[in-house]
Amino acid sequence: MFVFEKRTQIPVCIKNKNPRLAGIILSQYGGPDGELSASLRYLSQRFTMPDNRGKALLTDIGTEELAHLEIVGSIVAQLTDCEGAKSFDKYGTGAYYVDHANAVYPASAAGVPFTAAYIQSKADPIADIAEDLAAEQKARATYDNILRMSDDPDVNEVIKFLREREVVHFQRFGELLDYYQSQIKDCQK
Amino acid sequence: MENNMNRRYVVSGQNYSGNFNGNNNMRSNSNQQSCPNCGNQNSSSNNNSHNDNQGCACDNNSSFSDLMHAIMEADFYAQDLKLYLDTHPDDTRAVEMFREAVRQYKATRKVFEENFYPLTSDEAGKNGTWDWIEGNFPPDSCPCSQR
Repeated sequence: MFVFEKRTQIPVCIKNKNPRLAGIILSQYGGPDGELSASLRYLSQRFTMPDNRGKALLTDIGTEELAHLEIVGSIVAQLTDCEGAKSFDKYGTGAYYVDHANAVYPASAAGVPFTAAYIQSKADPIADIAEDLAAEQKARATYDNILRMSDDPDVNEVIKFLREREVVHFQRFGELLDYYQSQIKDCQK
Repeated sequence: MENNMNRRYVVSGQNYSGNFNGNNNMRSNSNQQSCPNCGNQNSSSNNNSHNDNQGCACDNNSSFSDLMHAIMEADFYAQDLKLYLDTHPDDTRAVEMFREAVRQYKATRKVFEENFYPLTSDEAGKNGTWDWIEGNFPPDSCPCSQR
């Protein structure tokens, strides 16, 4: 069960318009290592976690990723709010504008629409959590790449927060993996 | 975790409450005019005005942005503790901290909703009108541009 709260997790306050930057950040909305991939991955895998500890962690992190999806969508929307066709074209995002105009569409920076092929769900907690650990690092690396390309302090403030959360999630998944591996060892004794 | 316990809002050693307040990079009201291209009227101008200050509300320490920041901080603190507790369920000190964060979150939310608008739909309609559609939905969720 999910309840919508009418606010973002942290403030998103972007002053300047920049369709080019929006087209880059869009990858964390609907790209391979983006927040939609992350939330669907954890919220799907959770059903077959072996105990409530795993179900709780994947539910809670998957839910936070949905909040991050909302944050990334808000950044993209604010960066392109009211920008016209000529501005999109000037910033090199005319190809996006012709299909979606000012809309927020789940696709990668290269324009590939979102696909569930980005994620896996195996009913094997070791396999699933190992994928989740990698996913958090890939998302962290993508945020690093965005920070290398973005010179907007309003955007970077939010991106740095999202990057930090990937690190925290990685830590928690690592603790869950350690826990399951210790359980397996106990069984083998 | 032990090392971080004395700080109010902590994410892996970083204090994010400092990023939320007094930030001069926030959206200013000069950007909140109606849109010349798509004709959208920014919602900040048609909300109930509880604060007539000009410029960014965050620079003015308005009750709106203060309360919204307090809600975000308390809820984030609870969220971070929740993930920690999922993998450390025996840490009773962290459970206490979690309850305190949630108490703070609920208290600030109550004051916000009494003065501004409902944040969840189960709080809507208390004054006999459909006030769920008041306030700003994302992406218009900058506390500085809302009043």
